[in-house]
Amino acid sequence: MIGLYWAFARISFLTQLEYRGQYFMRMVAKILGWSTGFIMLMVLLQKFRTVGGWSIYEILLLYAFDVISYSIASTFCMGAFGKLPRMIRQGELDGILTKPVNPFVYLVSTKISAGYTSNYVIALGIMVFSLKKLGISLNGFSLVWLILDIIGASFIQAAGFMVTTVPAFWLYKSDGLYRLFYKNLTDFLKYPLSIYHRGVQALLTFLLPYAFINFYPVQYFIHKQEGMFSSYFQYLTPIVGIVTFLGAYCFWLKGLRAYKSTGS
Amino acid sequence: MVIYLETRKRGGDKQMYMTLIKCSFKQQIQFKWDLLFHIIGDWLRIYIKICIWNALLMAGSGDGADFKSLAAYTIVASMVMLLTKSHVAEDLSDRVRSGMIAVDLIRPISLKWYCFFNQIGENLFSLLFEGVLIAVISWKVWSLPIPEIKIIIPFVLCLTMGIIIMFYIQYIIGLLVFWMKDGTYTNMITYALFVMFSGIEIPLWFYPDWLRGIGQALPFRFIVHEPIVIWLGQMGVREIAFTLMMQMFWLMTLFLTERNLWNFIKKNIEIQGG
Repeated sequence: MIGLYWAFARISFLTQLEYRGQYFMRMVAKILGWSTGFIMLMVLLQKFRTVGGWSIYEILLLYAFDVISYSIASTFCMGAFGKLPRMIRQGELDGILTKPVNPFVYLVSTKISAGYTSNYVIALGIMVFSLKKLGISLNGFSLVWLILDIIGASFIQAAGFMVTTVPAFWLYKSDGLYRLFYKNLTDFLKYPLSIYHRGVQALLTFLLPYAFINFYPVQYFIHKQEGMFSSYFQYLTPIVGIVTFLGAYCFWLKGLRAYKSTGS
Repeated sequence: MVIYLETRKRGGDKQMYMTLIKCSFKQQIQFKWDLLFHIIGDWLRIYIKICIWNALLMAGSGDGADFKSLAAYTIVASMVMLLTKSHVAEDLSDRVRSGMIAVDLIRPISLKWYCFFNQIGENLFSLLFEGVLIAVISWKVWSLPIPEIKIIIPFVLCLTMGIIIMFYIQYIIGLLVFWMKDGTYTNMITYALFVMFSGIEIPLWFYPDWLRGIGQALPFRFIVHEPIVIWLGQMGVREIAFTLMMQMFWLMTLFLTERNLWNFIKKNIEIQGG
């Protein structure tokens, strides 16, 4: 069974490499897109040296956590859930439901994306660089913890995609929801959460736990204790990740049950 | 189809019409929600910026920039953002792929101006329904100063030229679709350059010299940064005149580029399908 999923994923990866020119343009565009965000951040940081008591490299670490987990989540879920509203509207989803495999796994493995390679490279580079500059050396345990954190953060990102696109089962359109509750709200993550109003901090901790993507877990590595809530929050990312992802998965199942084909 | 069958079962055309009305009403609501989400999203972006400016200014060096001018900068920049949105590249690539471009080539109205006015109409709509609300409220909340009329006139002039410059850039990039067959990524590249060099995110006066140097050689800063600096009253008469001249220069350059490109395309074009 797993072999089958693997075959789907491999084929979809290879199809994207087929058009090399297009793949290359996409790489350039993506690299430029990411580096713009990065350069804008650097412009501010080189001018002011510190934002809300966080140093340049601490903020870069925040940035790296965000980008890596985003890229991992996008590799698997962006294709599937980004196209979900259209698939629902055009009745394409029917085809998937008739397949004798778990629709979630089928969707994810056929829509896996090859376009995020450059993101991994850049974000990993930034992470290693800023860890080095901060004088943080990873021993066995902290390395494992770092990996667990990243996995947890990716789950949160993926849950974010899913929860904001699954409402398309009822509304047939969800790009507004996605833009506001995912894109705009994760914009807050670029800077330490403590510079924002308490309400925003509470919102991003309890209601939409995006703060666990980088703000809390990073504090463990740089020995900071910030935020208006318990200092134990810096250990919670893996758990929050799994819980939110399971929640999102249940939501997806609920959407699937409510799915009425639009026909055509 | 489902709706149709359901109403047929129950019988009666009236119900069918009711269902149709319900559907279109739902669509309208959807549209309103979309608008609401857009407005909230714009607010969030402005709020994040304001928090960052606050945090930075609290830490010390604002480099002479005070909170009010940074807040005003941020808000005017988001208005410019609304006015320079564009889907020209996507439109053109759709037309090329579907072969519609063949019809556009023989039409009496120029494709370029058709695209321009179409886009401007949409953008003015979003300025009216999203922008004005945001601007009025933030002006009240942070009690920002309103510039005098003798500044507003050159501001509007400079902004209008900036919008046309941006449109020309997007249109030229859109025309490249004849060689690409897909406009998504060229569009992304232009947008990245726009964000980096126009000052839409961060005022150019915070840029390091080398980056500002590159920006000097590109047209992007005349779209956002220069009009806003005029608005903030930080430009003398001679500087304003110089800025407007530079905008004229860029417009001429872009105009000639577009003409040449267009003539080249007309001569060498292969049209798919039709």
